[in-house]
Amino acid sequence: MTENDICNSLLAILDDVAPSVEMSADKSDQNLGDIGYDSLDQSSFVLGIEEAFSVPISDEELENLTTLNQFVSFIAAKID
Amino acid sequence: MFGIESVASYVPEARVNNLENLEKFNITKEFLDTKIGACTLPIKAETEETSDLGVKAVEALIARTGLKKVDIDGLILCTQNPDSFGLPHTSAIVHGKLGLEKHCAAFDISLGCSGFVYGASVVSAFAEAHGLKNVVLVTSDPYSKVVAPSDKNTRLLFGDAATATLFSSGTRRLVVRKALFGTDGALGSALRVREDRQLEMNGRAVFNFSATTVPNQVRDLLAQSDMTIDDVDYFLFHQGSKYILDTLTKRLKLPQKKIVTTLAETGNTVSSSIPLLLENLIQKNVPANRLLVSGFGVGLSYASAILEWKSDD
Repeated sequence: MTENDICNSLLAILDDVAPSVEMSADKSDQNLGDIGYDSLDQSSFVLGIEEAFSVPISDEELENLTTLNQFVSFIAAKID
Repeated sequence: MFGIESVASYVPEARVNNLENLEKFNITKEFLDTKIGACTLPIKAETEETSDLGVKAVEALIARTGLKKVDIDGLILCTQNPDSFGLPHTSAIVHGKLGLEKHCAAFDISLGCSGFVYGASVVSAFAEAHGLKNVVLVTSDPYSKVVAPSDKNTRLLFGDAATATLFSSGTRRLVVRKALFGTDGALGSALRVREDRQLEMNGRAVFNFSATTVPNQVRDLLAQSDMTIDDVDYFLFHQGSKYILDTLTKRLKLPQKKIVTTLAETGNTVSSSIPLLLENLIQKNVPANRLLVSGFGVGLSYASAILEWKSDD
């Protein structure tokens, strides 16, 4: 799976979690909170990732994951 | 067969206004409306004890049903915020304040949001095993005793309330047909009262538990009961928050018309949330033969049951 595939999967999860938030690949380096995802949206997003990729994400790891691109790189490394 | 004959409640009139905390917690009214589900929350008076809330709920039940105090032979109270330090047990204090008969059994159950579902099963089995006639299950767990006003994770969610549910073998009652129980004690610290007597919640852990474990138990319950979603008239979930309620609805693919809520009026009232929903349905005479109730939270404990109306006529 390429990073582009992962990115598209994460965009689909975000759209499912909070369809009213305007998200696109060109916002991949922006903080998810700044884009409009509140703390509950982000909890759902992380759970969606864990379920979709069978990749557990610890609270400590999550502290360093604030943008879409950071999540993409993290997952790419985990499933490599 | 023992079952629920009637439910009554006491909800304090005083309210905490969540709208006054928007700036303090860096949230919007939209967040309150769409994620929390309550703009105001009932709160007990400083001088009101857990037992006082329970007494008022039982008095409301007596007024509603005509039940005589002398005929109550069991009083079971669910709380984790008892009077003083829990000794004596709060059910005994309620028993004393109400002036119930000495032959009336009274004991507490220590459970949070799963408490009503556990309690309904305990009451039914206890009453049938020992030939009791009228048992009252009280839920009274005022979290205002332990919620810190500065804690965003909990301050916006919890409201104070108490309920009293009459279990009897009357002619028309709601019986527990099948129930499943579960505990994930390894995650228990996700929702706890610290040594400084303040509530602490790991929101992510509690959300993950609610969004994954609870739907699985509901699916198992339906499967073990040879039922589908179509066989249930209403789903009465613990009112954790609007977001949790919406997540369960979405993950279980439930029709919105089968979901009932009192979040806007009461917020999360812990073990009182499901009986408050039941009271609403019963008092409004909403046509429903079969209900699925599911409580989950502190412990982490979870319990789900199918309730069915039974009539002797």
